Amino acid sequence: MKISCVINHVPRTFDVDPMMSLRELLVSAGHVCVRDSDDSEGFCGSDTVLVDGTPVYSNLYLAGEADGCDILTPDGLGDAGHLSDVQQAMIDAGVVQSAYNAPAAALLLTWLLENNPDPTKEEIEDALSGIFIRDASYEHYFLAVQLVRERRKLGHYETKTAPIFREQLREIGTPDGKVDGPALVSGQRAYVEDYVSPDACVLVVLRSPYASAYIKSIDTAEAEKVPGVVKIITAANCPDIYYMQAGQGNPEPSPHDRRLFNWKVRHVGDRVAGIVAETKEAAEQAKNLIHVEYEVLKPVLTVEEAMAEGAPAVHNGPVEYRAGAPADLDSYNDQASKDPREGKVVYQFPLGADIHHNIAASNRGGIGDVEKAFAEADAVVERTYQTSQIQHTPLEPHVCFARMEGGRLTVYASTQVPYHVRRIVGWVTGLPENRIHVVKTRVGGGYGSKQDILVEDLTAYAAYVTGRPVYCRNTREEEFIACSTRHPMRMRVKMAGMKDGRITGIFMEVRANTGPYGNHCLTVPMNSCSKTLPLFKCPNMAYDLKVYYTNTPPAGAYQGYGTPKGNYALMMAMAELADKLGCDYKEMVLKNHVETGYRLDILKGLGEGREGNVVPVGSCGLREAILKGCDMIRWGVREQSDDPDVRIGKGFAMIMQGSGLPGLDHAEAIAKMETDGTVILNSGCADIGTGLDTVCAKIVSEVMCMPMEHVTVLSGDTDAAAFDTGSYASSGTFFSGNAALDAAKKLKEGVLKEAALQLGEEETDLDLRMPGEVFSRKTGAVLSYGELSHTACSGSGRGMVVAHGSYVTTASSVPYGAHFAEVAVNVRTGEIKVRKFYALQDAGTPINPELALCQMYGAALKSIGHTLYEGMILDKNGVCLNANMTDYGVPMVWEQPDDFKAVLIDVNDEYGPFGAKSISEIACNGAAPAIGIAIHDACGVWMDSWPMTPEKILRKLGKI
Amino acid sequence: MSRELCAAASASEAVIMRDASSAYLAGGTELLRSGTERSADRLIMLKNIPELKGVSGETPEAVRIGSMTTFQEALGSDLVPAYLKEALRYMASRTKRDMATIGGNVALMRDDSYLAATLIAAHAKLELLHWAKPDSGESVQDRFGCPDKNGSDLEEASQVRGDQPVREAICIRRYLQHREEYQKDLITAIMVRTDICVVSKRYANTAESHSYLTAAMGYADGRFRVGVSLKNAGVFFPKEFSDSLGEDENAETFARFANSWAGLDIPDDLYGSTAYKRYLLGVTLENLYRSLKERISSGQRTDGRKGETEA
Repeated sequence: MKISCVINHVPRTFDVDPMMSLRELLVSAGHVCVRDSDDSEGFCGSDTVLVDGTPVYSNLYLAGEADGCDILTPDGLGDAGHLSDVQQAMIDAGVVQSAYNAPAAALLLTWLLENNPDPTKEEIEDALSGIFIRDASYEHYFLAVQLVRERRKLGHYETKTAPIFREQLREIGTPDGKVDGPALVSGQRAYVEDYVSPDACVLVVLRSPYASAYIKSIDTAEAEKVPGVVKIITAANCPDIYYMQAGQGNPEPSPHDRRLFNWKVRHVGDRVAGIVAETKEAAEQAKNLIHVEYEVLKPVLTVEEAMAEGAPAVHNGPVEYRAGAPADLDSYNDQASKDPREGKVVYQFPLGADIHHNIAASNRGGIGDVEKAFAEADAVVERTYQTSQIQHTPLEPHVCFARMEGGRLTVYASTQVPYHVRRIVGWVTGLPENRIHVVKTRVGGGYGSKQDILVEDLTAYAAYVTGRPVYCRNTREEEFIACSTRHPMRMRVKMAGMKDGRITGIFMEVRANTGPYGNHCLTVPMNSCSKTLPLFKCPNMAYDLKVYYTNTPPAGAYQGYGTPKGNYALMMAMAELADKLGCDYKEMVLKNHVETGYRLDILKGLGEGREGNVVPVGSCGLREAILKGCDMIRWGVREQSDDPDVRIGKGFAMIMQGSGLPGLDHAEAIAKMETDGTVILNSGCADIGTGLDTVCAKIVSEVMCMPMEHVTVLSGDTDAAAFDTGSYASSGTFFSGNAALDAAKKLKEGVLKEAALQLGEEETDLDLRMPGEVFSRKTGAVLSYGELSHTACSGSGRGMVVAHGSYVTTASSVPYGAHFAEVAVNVRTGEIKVRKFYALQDAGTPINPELALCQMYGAALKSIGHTLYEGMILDKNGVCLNANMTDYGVPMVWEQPDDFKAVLIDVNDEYGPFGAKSISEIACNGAAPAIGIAIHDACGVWMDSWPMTPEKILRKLGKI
Repeated sequence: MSRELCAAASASEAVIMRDASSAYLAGGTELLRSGTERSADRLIMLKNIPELKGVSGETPEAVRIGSMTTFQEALGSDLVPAYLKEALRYMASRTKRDMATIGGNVALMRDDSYLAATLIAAHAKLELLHWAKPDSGESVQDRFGCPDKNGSDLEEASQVRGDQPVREAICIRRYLQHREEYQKDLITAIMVRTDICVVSKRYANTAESHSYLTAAMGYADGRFRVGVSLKNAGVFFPKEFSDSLGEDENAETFARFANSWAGLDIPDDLYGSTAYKRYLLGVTLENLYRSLKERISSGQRTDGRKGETEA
């Protein structure tokens, strides 16, 4: 059918199938920024365009309907390489982060302001109601609109985008936009899908319908005959290599318990076959022609089922150790199943596992004497808490494009850990690292899920073994059932206290569910203790954790990394203890929290398989956050509702996290001065939308006294940069930023040294200054970087000034904070509304303040989601019943608190680059306990499980 | 998976083209989304039919809303009564409201429908267009010898045969009870009263989630009317209960009804337990009743023109 329409003011004619979606038509016409986040569910809004001036979901609009229409796509905003004022305002407000659907959001705001130049907050909310913002929340979108209004009326901004820190510095601490912001918000090619070559084959995966089963036989003969099928990979022909998919430093604290394909499937959605074909249609057709015979086994779906006597073992093969094998390993393996389909489990070092009892890892530790503390206490609270299986729901699903080029395997990955991807791809392909090139593209949402290597292993292997370029993109359903989630945890907390409000003993028993594979099985549950117990000045603390294999969808890394769960349990128990003792909760918190200089003896007992490093508390804004937040929320003042059925309550929780992993993380950067004096920083870091490239650029700009626009950061490319463990454990700013700082300082030294030689002066008489030159304090001589570098690179020059920086440390820079919630609970219907949420955190020196605030908002809203709405629901066969966005239930604009504030507490850190600490993971840790405590304050019930639903409230109130 | 798209220029053309293998394409938010239970070999596009659009005041007490009026267009009309706007806003996504049509939502009569409960409580009427002759299941090919005729050719052919689409107005409750009979009918308009008081309440996990319970209660002509849609149970008009409601009911009335409503099979599912939903239904109906009574006793009624109230 011939379709004539106008796209971005240009008349176009197409001859297409009228039944194709408008989005497909637009993408084929080059408008790649019209994205798909939900496989045409009509939820996320990444596919939003304007048709005849009205926003529509282009996935739900046929090309045939567009005949005669006037269409505007996000890349039609702005003109000739200049951003529109809306796009610029979004960058300035800090909302352009992972940005997968930021172009669509820009389109919606543009449309709103064209039809309504002075929208109210409700009207802005309504305009954004059709788009799912997962990274930055919606709060600063109101700011973006305000900025546009001011610019249009006054010609400049009046409203501050964020507070400024360290005014003595030029770039650091000043809101200045994101270096990749313009490209992202205008919808330029940036993500993996934009780099896929036209000749790419498609990889789709046949997945298990059963939670636990042996594959008795798999017949691909009929499937292989489908025209266009290139290769089918199964357990029969994949490498016999055991590895793990967690992106962690080598040696990994996760068991190597899987191959690319296994003869035993261990969850609904587990891989059965990978089909590589020239078209998606051929791949799907072939998938349906693969005949698999299963021997279905009884699954275990909860920690309780996994630990029960006689429970089926999820992994029951032999165990191997690379180091630290126990003396009784041979007799242990005698108990293993002899069925080769069980495979094996390989440990890099002991994790306290016992796979025959479904224990993937275990640990225990502590200080003092908790039993004595319980015996002598004035009051003891003992309660068990349960958290649910939460999905990241990144706007960009897991996706990978790989190809062989010149004997090397290039992998375009949306990943947080390019170097770990390279290592694991090397394992499965057998290729050495020098023949693998990983290119981290922009990442459209990670939140921990892209710390795991969930599609890159198979995609890269498929490209290697076929010699063809291969593209793999998860469906949204696969994101739910075949990626990773939070570890559901059962936590029993016993807490002892005295009448004066002192907490004298804390015991945490953690029983975590890691799913069928052990990605992060030890480290996530450990964090529930190691990033919570050190908040307390308590001499008697202990923990005991066991992590169980089950046949649920796999768990893995998720922002917060165990801490949200442990913090929920501890703070709820503390609130209940305060109630039992008749103390004010706030006074109890103030009496028991740590402060700068306090010696954290508990750290000795929190090492993972070794004794931890005891250090004193460094920079700490905890008290200030608590006091300021209590003041903001009017702690102690009872609020009343006009509705007689509604009760209002307040709660808060103190929080902490880490800034990377001391003694484990490693970051490097290479700074080089180009011949014109500009600088390129090759950083091993992985900016996943949080602004890490901008952090590094600012650091170089600050040290080198040169404008930001003269600094380019290239990151996450394993060919171009030196090693970096990647973006997880909140390591980015602290580790990669410090590596950039080291490189910048060494570049400065190199420039001064070269300048001294060129000028014939002493180095000690020379300094750097804006806009990028060396000057002599002694003689007044000036040498621009361009002149210096040109000379250095000449036929008689000493060579380009290049500096290699790196950073490792055993020092710990811990961010602290407190989150506050005010909730309204309808005691007749159980409905809960978060009226106010205040997130107060210290991040040391926020290098990008506007981005930092938005990360706080984004993480807080996510955690409001996991507290009240989110949770994967499995039936008795392990099938996920809500594996789509609508049924899963994520917080969008209408779920945002009416009064939502993020506040940065100013505390300088000794170790962070320019005093910076991490900002983003910690912001996931406060909502659950703050809301739970607020609910108790409102209506007297203690919520002991996630999500805190109306039905649970009603049951606790005795209504049903 | 739909394979063919054809455009109708009039309501009659659309009805003529409709056969067992085709479906009407209104806003597309259901038919074209992933996970839909609807499918058809051929989609008949309704967006270019002017007679299906628009909101008009039929009488001082009634408003006619063309079936292809989108949710957002209806919200923007001064004629649409406030109680219906309350239900229209249950569709949380503005983008979706700009696409989804009222007729489409009514035709689906999903158990999580945004509008069904309110329209039932409001005693709304539907204007339908259908073949005069009983449905023999014949295809367009069977009727006219060739499926490739365009709409206007088909209309001419039907005039020659003497088959003319027929308009009929029915109560929405009848539509609900006899859905199968009206399956191929085209809803051309929805008529709603403005001289009626209706209140409603929707429960969903989040604003964008499917609702698991939507209830509405209306009062007019001295009678109460209740509409309920329950996810995984259905859409209901409990006539006997509605007729039994008097001026002085208490909480027990509604709790008893919710717990003992025969024929209502509410499952335990991912939205909650049976006990929770029954309890919630009882509390909600009680709340709606109290809210209605307050309005009635204060002499208020909804005004379809501006959503104003008058004493």
